[in-house]
Amino acid sequence: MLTTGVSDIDEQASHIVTIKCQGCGAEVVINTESQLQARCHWCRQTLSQQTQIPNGAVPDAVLPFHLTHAQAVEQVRKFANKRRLFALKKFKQEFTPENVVGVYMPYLLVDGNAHADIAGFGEIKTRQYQRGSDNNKTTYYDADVYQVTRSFDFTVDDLTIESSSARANQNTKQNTNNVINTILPFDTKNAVRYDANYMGDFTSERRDLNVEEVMPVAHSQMLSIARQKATDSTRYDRGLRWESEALELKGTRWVAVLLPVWLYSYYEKKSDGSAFLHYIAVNGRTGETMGSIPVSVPKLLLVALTIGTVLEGIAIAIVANF
Amino acid sequence: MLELTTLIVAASDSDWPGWLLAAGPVGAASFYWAVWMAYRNTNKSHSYERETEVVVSNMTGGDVKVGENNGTRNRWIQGRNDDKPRQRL
Ligand SMILES: [Zn+2]
Repeated sequence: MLTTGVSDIDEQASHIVTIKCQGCGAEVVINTESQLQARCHWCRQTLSQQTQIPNGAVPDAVLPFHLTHAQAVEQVRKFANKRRLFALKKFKQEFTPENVVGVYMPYLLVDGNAHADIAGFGEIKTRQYQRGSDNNKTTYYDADVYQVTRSFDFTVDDLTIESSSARANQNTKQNTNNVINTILPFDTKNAVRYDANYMGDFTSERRDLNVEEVMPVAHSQMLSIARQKATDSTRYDRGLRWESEALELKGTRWVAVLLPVWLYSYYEKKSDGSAFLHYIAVNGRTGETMGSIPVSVPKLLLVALTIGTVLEGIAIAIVANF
Repeated sequence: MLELTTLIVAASDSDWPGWLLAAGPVGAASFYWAVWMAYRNTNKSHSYERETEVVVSNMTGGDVKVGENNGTRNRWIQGRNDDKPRQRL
């Protein structure tokens, strides 16, 4: 059964508009009633009404912000203060935690009902002994080998999947979207039916992935969950080598939801002219915080090499005097 | 660096603690890696395998002894992957 909102935004919510950011291309949803001069929550560029694009599907549900702006500022400040020593000088100079903005991020919640078959081999240690001369001992192990099979039904509740294609890209060489993923989970049970009034001063991001497109991700995540459950049901002290896995999805139920994230972004312009976006994200319900702080590579290299040189000096002294 | 390698090779067949000479490079690399991860957090993601609400039912299966693996020097089963649930088989 699908319960994903597919209707267009209705007339009463005409003050909700979607704008394509000319800075970074993000599709940002804003409330024109309370935001005259909205900025992109990713790159902080001022958004122009000229680049308005059609609104996407109306979300089914929204989880309202619980953490206040002041609390989010404090979380961002604490996170960055713990990482000052090797942070890029420019980042420290321009650090303005008050710039943290509230964003409703689009996700698809999946309830799934599945059957899994997982099989492989496990080993249990029966003996451990050493062989060789006194100062050249090698440890050996004896083990029993077992063929292990697990077959079970399971249900997952509110598996949370990114539904904005730009944010679903979790390549850490290109972006820091993984830090936004890390502040999951949310107390999605407390989500309420979507109402444009929740938008207030917050911005949102257009959902551009539908159920079909995120299905492979949902399938793979459910298979990972099944593997974990299979492993949890065993006791092999030398570990397992799973060799086959199969998942039969019997049914899924989907809800398009907006989840509250406080977001601080920093645009790092690299010497080669390229740019890299760093985020510090705060879960708007639990306050869980994760981020990416740009590192001053020359400074870190210098300190690492100094430590290495000191350690090497000690090592050479010990070896020479042996 | 060549001298260092020679020293380490010469050291490995006696109880002379030549392996200590790896302390410098290993220490520098470990420090660099630890700081990088603490700042950039590129290895972090939501652990949905453990934090999603899941109910398992009708668990069946078997654990059948099929042989022995005696005299191995490996601490773990060959190709161990029970700690990598996201790796597709
Ligand atoms: Zn932008």
